[in-house]
Amino acid sequence: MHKPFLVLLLFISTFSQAQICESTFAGIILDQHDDSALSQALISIVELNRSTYTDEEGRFSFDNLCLGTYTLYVTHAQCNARSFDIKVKENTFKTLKLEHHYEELNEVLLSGSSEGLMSAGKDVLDAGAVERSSHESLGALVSGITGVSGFSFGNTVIKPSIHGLHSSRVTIMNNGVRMEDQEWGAEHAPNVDINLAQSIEIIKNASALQYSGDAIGGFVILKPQRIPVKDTLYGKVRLSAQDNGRGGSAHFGLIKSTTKGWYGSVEGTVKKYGDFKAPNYNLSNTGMNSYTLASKLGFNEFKRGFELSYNSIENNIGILRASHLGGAQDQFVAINSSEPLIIKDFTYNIDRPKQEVSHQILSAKAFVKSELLGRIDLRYDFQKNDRLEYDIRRGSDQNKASLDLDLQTHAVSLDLAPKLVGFNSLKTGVSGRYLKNESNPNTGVKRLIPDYKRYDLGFYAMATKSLSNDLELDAALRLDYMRIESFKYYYSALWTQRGYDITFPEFEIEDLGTQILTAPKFNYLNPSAAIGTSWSLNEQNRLLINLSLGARNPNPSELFSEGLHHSASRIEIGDLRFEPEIAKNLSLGYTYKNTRISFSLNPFVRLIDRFILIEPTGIQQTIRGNFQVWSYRQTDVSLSGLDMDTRVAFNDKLGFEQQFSLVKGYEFETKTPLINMPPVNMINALNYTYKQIEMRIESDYTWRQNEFPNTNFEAFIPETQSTELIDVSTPPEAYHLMNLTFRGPLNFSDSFNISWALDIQNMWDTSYRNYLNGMRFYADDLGRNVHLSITSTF
Amino acid sequence: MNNSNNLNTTNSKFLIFTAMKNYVLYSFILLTGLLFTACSDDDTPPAPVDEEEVITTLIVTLTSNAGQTIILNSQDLDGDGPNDPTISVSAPLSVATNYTGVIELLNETENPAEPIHEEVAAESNAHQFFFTQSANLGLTTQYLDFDGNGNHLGLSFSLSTTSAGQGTMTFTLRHEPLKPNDGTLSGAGGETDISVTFPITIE
Repeated sequence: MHKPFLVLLLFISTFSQAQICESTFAGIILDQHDDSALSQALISIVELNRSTYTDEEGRFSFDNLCLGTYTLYVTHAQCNARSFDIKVKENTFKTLKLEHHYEELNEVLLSGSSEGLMSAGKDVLDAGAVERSSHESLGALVSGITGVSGFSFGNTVIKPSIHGLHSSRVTIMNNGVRMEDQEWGAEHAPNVDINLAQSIEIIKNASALQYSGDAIGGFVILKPQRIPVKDTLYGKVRLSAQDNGRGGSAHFGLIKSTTKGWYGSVEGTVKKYGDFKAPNYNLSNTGMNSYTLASKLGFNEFKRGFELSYNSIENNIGILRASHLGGAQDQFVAINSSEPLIIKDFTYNIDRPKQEVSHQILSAKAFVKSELLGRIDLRYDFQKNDRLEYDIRRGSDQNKASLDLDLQTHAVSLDLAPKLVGFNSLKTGVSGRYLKNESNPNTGVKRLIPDYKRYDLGFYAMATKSLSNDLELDAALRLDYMRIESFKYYYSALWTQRGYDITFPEFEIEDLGTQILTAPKFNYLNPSAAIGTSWSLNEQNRLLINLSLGARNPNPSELFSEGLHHSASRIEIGDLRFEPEIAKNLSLGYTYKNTRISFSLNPFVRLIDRFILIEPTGIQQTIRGNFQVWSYRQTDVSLSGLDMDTRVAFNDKLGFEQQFSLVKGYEFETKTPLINMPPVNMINALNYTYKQIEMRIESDYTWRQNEFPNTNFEAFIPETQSTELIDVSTPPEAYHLMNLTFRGPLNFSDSFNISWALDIQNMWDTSYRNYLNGMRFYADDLGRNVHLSITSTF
Repeated sequence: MNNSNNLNTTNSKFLIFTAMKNYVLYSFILLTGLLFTACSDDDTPPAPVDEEEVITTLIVTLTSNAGQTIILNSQDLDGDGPNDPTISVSAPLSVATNYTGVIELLNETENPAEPIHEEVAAESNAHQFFFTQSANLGLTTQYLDFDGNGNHLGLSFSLSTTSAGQGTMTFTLRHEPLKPNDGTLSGAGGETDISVTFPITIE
């Protein structure tokens, strides 16, 4: 837009003044964010009408200047223009910094602005990828990344599982906020709307220590949209519809910003789906609806800024009706039936069993930058998670929730990114958090998770240093203190059976007959660390090596469980004696890249001491019949595997992609395979572009998981008055899915862009069951889905 | 000339440094303040949960035509807790005898005990008892009561013994079964609310 003006400026002739003016003023223009050189920046000396451009290395110079003070005006295509006052003495050299902003809404992320350590490696889903999957959940979206799978409970509750680790072993960062949303539960989906993210980064080890030291599985980082510092009003509307679930989603966003640095935005998403279907039947009561509203107001200047933001998400999720069971004999019938026992006609209604979850985040943050101390960030975040789970109940309790948890989190953090000579980057910070969980007693059901308070205090420091042009070294350290104080009613029999009356007599408060009131309190202090190197062998080859140490404290479920877990139809027992899990990880990354081929190979080995797993330990008689008892246990385990990505561009139109991932997990001593390890998966895809229309055909093959622990058990079946084997461990067969995508633009005008996408998932309507889906015992996974979306930006 | 943007001014450096120092200070005050307010929360334990739906006790009273009463009792006061139910049968059944049976369900975690069978009777359309026994046990059962739609309920039933022997008999209460059904547990589906197996002797 202002290019002609700049060119004009360049051609304005300059006049040297008739006096002794022989000083030189030279300098370099750098990006404020990462100190990268800015080439093609236009520098003008206002008083003299002289201008020049920076070269490839960001350098410029003016000669024959008189001594004195001048105003320098610097502009760059992707930066905010800025003026500087300079004093020219004899031969002056200055380093000037500009704040990079983004001309395009869908810009590619700057490399180098990595969230974790460079050596840790990361996978990025860019704005395009996020936008294309706007209707999907976070879990479904990131499961497209090599080495990441969806650990799910039905088709709307999907958690990201990184190399087989999920729930409290994966930290989810949403717009700088660490999500605290009862993430320990296998059937608790993350409460985030991917539409609010500009891009999503996955780190497959514990190295992003500025966020937490306990992410021994890895990190999922949702990064917010960057708003340009200029006078603009833009927006986005995205509509989608699909046949499976007979529903759709709508997302809108409106962003206003000014050159002075003020900005504000409002975004919202609505999703509504009815029952989904498997190839041969309706999946009764699997509909969902979801509402998101997010807004922010902020001010962003070159050196300081602040932001207030609020976002709220509400999810109403139906749980497959046929999965609600009353014990071993029901499980026997359900598992041995080829179809779900309850199949009704399609409906949009969501009946019990269902989940109603709302999550709200209120954040206030501010930053200042200085030449001396670098960037300083201060933030406060409040989160409120309300979780209601409804079961099928009797009598006056019919419409009451069986689980009613309210978790509130307050967090403050302070981060410093000072600039020190000799270091490429340096970051340190402290954070404190207070969590309060309340379990409503009016449910009429024994609390699954007790009331507790948790206090966290963390400190970290991380640094990156170049040893040479090709070799970079990075390291990080963190220390975490955690205190948990709870009130818990135990079954008296269990309290003594597990020997707690001897180990923890100080926790006992009051004996109520069959129950005992206790107040368990624990303190944990954990160090974590990471060190690594990234080595560019030459233009094409790069090698990453990363070693990390992480520690995760037992979560409330692992500590306190002692009762029926309805959705799993089993009794689960935790252990108060658990110690933190300690994970030691080695990740290697090799990438090869030329203009046609890119290839990466990422093997890893992870040893986890005192890994907490849950396994069957017996059968319990109750008046409702037999239930299988699963107890948590700590044991040393090893995980290893590799991810491989290959991309080949045959020409401008045709390309090929392959993703391959393999993970193996065993108990260290007994070599028993770990449960729920992702089966080997391979995706092959062909991409073809024809006149702006991109086509992609994808083959997704998942092998059968042949390594699994035997958790089968025998139970008395009244119908036959005999004891039968109940097979809850044999994984489902291998499956192959074909997916087809078309997408392209519709160009109406320059200021109004429309793009469309047509997706056909599971093209051949293949019946299959997924080992990592908790519903696999009762029903097939989703059948064919035809999905159409239209996105407009303006 | 405006000097405020001069990069070299030590004055501005000093100002920034002071600002930083204040930031650091304030944030620490904020942080510790927050933790202290958090700590000062009251520490009263939450109320115990009234477990409303629990069925602790099943009592089957069999009365023979001759007026003899046999009681089958299963009691599990800690519900899903680790203690097994205690099961008792007051006397052996007599051969070639007709009994009428009545089922009572209690929640004895409440005081007085809550009669759950009344709730089951009130929601008769969503419930049904099933009677199953080992093949070698010579007895037959028949429903004596019906739900709102005229389908079997099973809170009262008749039992006839045919031959002497020993075996087991199970009383199963299903919630939201298929109704009407073929009389088998697998045909009825639904969720098991109660499943109690008694050792039975007929002599």
